[in-house]
Amino acid sequence: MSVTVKTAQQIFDQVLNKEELFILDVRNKDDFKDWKIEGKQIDHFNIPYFELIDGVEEIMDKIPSDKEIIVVCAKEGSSKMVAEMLSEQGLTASYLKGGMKSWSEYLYKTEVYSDDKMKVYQFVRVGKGCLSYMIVSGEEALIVDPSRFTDIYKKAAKDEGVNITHIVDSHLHADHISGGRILAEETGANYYLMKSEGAIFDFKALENYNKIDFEHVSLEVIAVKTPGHTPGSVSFFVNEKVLFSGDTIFVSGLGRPDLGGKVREWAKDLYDTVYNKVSLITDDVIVLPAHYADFEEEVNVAGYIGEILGEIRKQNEMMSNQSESDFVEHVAQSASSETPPNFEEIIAINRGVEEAEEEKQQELEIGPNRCAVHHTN
Amino acid sequence: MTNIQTDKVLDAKGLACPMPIVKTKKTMNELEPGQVLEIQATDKGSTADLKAWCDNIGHQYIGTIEKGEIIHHFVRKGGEEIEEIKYPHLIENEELARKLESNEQTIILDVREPSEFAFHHIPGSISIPFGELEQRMDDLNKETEMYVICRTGNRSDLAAQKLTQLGFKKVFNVVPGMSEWKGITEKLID
Repeated sequence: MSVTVKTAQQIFDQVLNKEELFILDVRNKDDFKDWKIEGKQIDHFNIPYFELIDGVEEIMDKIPSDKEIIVVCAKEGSSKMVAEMLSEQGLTASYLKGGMKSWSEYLYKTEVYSDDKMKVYQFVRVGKGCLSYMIVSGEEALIVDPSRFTDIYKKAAKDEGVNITHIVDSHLHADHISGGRILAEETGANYYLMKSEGAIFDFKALENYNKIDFEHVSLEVIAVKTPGHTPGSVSFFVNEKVLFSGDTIFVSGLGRPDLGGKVREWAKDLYDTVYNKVSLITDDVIVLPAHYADFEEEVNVAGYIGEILGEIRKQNEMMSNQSESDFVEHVAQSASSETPPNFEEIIAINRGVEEAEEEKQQELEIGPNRCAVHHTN
Repeated sequence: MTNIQTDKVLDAKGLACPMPIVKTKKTMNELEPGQVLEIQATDKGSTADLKAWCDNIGHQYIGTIEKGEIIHHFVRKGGEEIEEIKYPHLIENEELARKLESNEQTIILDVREPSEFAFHHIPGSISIPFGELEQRMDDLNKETEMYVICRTGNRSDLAAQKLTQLGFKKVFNVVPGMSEWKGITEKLID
């Protein structure tokens, strides 16, 4: 039987189509426990490749004969070895090209919104749970929360025949390396970030902008600026149609802070945002967050991660008619002590305090999706 | 510390996963139980994999040193260790720790392999691997109290028997040994 190669894109398309897959994950048990290819129709079996060096005979009873088999490992080499062994046993197996590293780096692009003034695309980083966006209007494009794979946004802009002129980061990311600075250098676009987040390179401070206007787009910056600590997350309200909610509102609920000692302050800011700013926004506005936790739980019928504000309000009693103290209590209780892997180094790179080669960046980013965890240190 | 003495060195530099572990497995088959292999690799993932592989198969993962691009792993082959301790004069770890704390003059003879000693040993202890004991016995005084230690008490049991045969008078086997040692340790590597 034969061995074939599958790209992250091909496997994700199968996940989207809800195809039944059997994934033989031959990474270390710890890595598998940390993160894996997720999907409701996926069955997993984890056994480290080094237990299979002498052959796969002992696990043959664990491998189904009626499902497609995909072998995955960290980088590719071991999964190829094991797929070839399975093939010698008469099974058809494929392996993931580039391993979980490529899974971590794959971005899936989908259209979210379109009218006569603008078009909005969402980029889903399926292996990390991070979302970035492109707003296209006239001959220009604005990118929200770009990942470090800047070629993808440049190609997307080229496909639309537009130039990237503005880039915004909703917050200083702790879970992935921002592409904002590099993309701004490559395209000459303006790059906006909250000054209070501590970046040391040249950028436009969002504190100085209530609005960013280009072509037929008017982007309103919604931020609660409490003196004395970082505002955490900014939201962008675009043409009164779409709300890029950053880290404040997710499809599945409200943002949760970490235990940086400022949980309650952060929660109070969030209360102000939700009750004084977001409360003025109508139910039909589409909320597009910076992160998600579970793709299949949060993806909507249109195929993107997002929800109209009215639905989120309906599903989340904390969004209205709560006292500030109840709200703060609720949010504080959901605070997490789990931090994204390597978050200190990632923050330092995003602030421009540290530099890292691409291989180092790959290493720092790889690992579980703990995006929804906020940093306030 | 530049070079740590081992029984064999495997060059796995430039090899990508799974080859470092595949080659290590093959090379370990050529060694005797208790012998130490140094694996030189460049694949960063090899450290976690090697540890997990050793745990799984029963080899002793000693440690890893990174020097520039090259990662040096040290692994001691497991299997066929004698379980029964025969030498009668024993001292428990805690008792030895008390002697050290009270500053009694205490000679500790560590009979593990040089790589094990390099990663983890009691300050002031003398390193003479079990296999070199006879050649190097002249370095030691036969009349003073001597506490022989290894990882789990087996090699030190054999060493204590041998020293007694060679005319040493006051030899104690430290049990269970370094695997359970709670006191201060030091290492020769950065």
